[in-house]
Amino acid sequence: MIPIDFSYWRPTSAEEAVALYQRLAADRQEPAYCAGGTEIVTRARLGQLAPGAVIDLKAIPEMCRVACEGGRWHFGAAVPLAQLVDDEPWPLLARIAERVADHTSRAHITLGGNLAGAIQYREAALPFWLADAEITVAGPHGRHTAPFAQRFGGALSLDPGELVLDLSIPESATRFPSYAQKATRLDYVDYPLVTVAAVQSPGGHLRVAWSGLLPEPFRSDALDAALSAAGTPAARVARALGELPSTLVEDLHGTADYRRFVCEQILSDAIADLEGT
Amino acid sequence: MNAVGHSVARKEAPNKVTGRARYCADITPAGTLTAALVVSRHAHARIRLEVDHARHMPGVVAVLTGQDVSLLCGEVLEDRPPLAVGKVRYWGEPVALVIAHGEAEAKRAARAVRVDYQPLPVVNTVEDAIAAGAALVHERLGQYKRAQPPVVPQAQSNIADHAKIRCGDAAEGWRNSAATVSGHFALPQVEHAAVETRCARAEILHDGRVLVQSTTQAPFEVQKLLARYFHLQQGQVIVTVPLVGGAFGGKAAVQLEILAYLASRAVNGRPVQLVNSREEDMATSPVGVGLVADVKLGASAEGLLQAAELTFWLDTGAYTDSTPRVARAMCSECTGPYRVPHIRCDAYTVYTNHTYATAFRGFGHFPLTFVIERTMDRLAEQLDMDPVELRRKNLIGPGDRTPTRMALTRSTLGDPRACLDRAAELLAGPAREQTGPHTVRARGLALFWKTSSSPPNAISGAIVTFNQDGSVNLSTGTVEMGAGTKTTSAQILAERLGLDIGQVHIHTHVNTKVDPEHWKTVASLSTFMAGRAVLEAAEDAKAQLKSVAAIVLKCAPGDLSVARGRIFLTADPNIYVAFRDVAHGYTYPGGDAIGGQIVGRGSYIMRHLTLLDEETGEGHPGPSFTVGAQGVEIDWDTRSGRYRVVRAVSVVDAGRAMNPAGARTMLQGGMCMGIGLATREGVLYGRGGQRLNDQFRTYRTMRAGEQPDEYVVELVETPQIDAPFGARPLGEHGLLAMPAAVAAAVSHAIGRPVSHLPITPESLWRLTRTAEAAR
Amino acid sequence: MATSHTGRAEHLITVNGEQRRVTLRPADTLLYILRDELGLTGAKPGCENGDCGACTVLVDGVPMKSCLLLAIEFATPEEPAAGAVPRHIETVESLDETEVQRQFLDHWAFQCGYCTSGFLMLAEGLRRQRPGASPGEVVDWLRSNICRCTSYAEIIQAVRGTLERERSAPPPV
Repeated sequence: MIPIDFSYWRPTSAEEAVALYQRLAADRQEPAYCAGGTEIVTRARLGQLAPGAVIDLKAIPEMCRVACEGGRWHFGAAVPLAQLVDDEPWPLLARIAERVADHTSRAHITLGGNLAGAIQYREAALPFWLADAEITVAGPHGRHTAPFAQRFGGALSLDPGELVLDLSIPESATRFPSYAQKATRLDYVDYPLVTVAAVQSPGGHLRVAWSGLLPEPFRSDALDAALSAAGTPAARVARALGELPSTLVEDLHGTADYRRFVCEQILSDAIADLEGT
Repeated sequence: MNAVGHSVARKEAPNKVTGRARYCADITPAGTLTAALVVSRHAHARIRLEVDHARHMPGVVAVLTGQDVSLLCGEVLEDRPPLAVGKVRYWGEPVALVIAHGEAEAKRAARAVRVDYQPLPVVNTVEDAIAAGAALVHERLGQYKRAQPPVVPQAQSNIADHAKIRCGDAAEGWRNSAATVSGHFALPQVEHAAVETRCARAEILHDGRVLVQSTTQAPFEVQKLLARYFHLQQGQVIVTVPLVGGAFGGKAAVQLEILAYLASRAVNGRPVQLVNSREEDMATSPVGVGLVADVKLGASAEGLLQAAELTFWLDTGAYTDSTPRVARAMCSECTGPYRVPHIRCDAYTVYTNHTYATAFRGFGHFPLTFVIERTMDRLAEQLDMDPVELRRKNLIGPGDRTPTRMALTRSTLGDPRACLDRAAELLAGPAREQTGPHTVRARGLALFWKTSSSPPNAISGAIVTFNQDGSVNLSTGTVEMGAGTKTTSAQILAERLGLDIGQVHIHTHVNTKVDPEHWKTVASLSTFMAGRAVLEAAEDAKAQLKSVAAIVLKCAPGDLSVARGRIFLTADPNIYVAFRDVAHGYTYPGGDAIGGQIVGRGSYIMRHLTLLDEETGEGHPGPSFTVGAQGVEIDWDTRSGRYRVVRAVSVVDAGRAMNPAGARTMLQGGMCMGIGLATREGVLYGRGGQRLNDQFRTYRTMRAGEQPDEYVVELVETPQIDAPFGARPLGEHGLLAMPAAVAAAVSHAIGRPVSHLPITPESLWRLTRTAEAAR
Repeated sequence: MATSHTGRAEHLITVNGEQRRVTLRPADTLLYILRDELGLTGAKPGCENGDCGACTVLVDGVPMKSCLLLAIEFATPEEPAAGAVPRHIETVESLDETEVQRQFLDHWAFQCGYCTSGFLMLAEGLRRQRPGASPGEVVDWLRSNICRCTSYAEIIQAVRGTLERERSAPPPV
């Protein structure tokens, strides 16, 4: 039961959605975009969120599309995670997505919602960080396509009224050797202690993106460099761990030093998996 | 026919697979108002409320605060205001109640109630609570009314109760001990986490009747308490309970019913419903007790136990509810199922600024079993003795006495040896074996025993009536919350009347106005108590049937037998009358009639039970024991420190399996819950006593895929002579020794004793790392 | 063109093959409307947070948690556009003597019965979407819901049994 009231809007194009947003905002309706709705529904119930208007993006066709065009795979922001897992256009994304929440909930949670949500893990961002991804945003000033990392640095930077339309990656990137792992306190379905996505680029360089370790997802060139440098796997892992921020998250899922221990194992596994050692 | 001993499906099962089974919140009459709680966001603070704004919001009918209610409640000790007065004692405590036309309006107004907090020092652990100079959770503890003695509060402290066992001569026990071990344990509070949250509705009619519907396991207790608290005649209060969606002890506490009554009273008696959100169900309504314990055992060089010294501090949170009774139940069986001549046990019910505690499946016996069995394993290590052998040597048996000096017989105790031997056989194999480069398989075993600590005068009843077609109706006061109690009663009646189970119609719901009183549907006692009442009702009905049939068949009642819906001459079954011809009077061809409507009555009252002596603990707490042995095999990954329970075994003395599939699945479900308690469950509080895990996202229970690959459940059948068909209580027992068994297996795997719960991979990592650092 | 809804109003929703007229607020969850407006109380509120799955229903054959859905999403106009297919909601009340119900009965896959509706709809969705599901897939689907009474083994057996029957059943003529 959501005790507050809001109006509900279902535009059929991104431009219409943006125009609605502007109009409702000017009207002090405090609009919110909504796709899967899991966060809006649960947080509104608890009084943590009180939008005056909800703009449902699921009727915008281009946001619900997964397709390969012009050498790039496009992933609409309103595509549910379940579809990315079942159709598996990009194995790394499927591996990461299949560990978000539970099977039924993944039919609700969308790619864009996972990236834009208040729940800080935003695991779906990890693969895109590693794949020369682009993100297309629609807003009051039209559409803009930018490198993913320009718009996502742990959280999406969106101006009021902007919404993510889709994300894309070069088709070749779906074929990079990749590794995904999620470690939880104990349960298969739970928030992560740490979630890792890693790829080996054609040059053999390893790149890793992380969730759960810091208040937001992160990645680090220095860490990737340490991991990719010459040396025994153990030495590389040790150097890479040295590049982790000194303060890791400490919460009911686990302590900071345990997270560090788990990271060490995952990095070793990632190297073994990707380099076949 | 032959209903007893067969796997009879629950009577209400077809409704449960079609969505037609109705639970409390499924049945809300039109016009029912909604109540919403305002709960504290501090664990210990003085409060001031500002409710005027909320009172004037749209749809709001009334707002109640603690100032409007002058009442202290409590099953044992009356220490709990239904709404906090002056100060709050736990995070989540109700401080105000908003009554509105709709749920949305009630919730909106509840959010508009302003609470100003002036924080007080938080008593956040048992250690905080018993430290010198500790902040007091209750300043007026010495003045509280003792509603159900024994309870021994210590004024000007956080000790709400002190229960004791003094048996033998401790000094002599230690003198006779060549080996002693001691252990310190700290187990968190736990959640019942029934999937149905607690709910209550109340309505006060103008003729003075009070109608209450709730999710309670104790409808007659609700009735009595409401009558007592609000000066009503008991008969004015009518409590109904539909099917209950899991309870596990959490629905034995009377909380929302009182609030619903207060709410209805505040709105001129209109019906008001209060349904817990999941967050309220976890943080506001009571949880299971936490335990801090010191356990010391002494044994002779041959491994015979000589002495036990145990101190339990039960974290009851902000209020006592039934914890003093839990403490006494733990005292009663404080040694585990072992023979110990010299015992000293002290159980303190300790107030903290935590959510208050109530009964939890097993009534203190899962934490009790954990601390005893862990210490037994330590003792075995110290004696360099096989842990199974140590247990076998010390097993209690017929002729021995329990810590409360209750003499045991084979009937009252059952056969713990048979359970232990079979479980050991099923778990044969090394305690620890390397099964792969990074994998270890380990095994652990533990024993439990439990009697049912009811009030000595607990009662039950049954009424049997007949339909014109000869089928029967059975009315009992037990609540159906998943354990199949109603079906079991129907099986007993069917068996005794020689009817098909399909010809026994049960009242699925309980209504205190028409159903005979059953103390509470707790302590796994329904089969025993209600079963005894049903047996008596069956015999009563049979005697009446026979007396009418004797006239019709021109014989003495003693010449007759009853089966298959007929009363017949034992010597010649061809001479008979059918139930349907005599159950409502026998009518002769001329139209004249004899007899009358037959109503079978049965009742049961506990016999020979006594309260425990306040100084020595001597007494007779329960009618019989259920004993069992449980064990697990785990696979531990030495590299990651993660483990999984791959196989779980229970061998339980069921007395008699009245419903084999029902018994097996009930035990299996308990084992699963027990593995959850062992591996992941526990209430968490932040530094300020704020609740950290009040959702299923954060309070983790078992999910599919986390259960063992294999469950093995075997039943030993040592009849309990005075129980219906010899059947022993089974409802709680599946979980009792599972946490201890998991801890034993994990201890073997990592080579370090595990004394904590839950046993998470991180906790093991910390334990092994500390061990390495110490080397 | 955007459709919009403000305030409490009447709408048509297709549930269990029937068009139902309901009064709802845009903020009402589907679970609330099913239970409080339509009297379909088989779907249960266990957490209203998407965590326990007791409210699971089928939406166009796919299991979804009705506590996470806004009922307004399923409202169809009085005169639907040509070719528009209303989204179809199925609740446990639509199941009648199905294999999955039989299997839950046979395997004692419930005790208190409160989570059962959700598990049944999850299992029914699995049967339709993935009749050939591997044991791992079965478990992955079932992880979405919580049962506090059973050991899960009973539920898993009931679901596997359902799929086995589905696979061995003769194809429809």
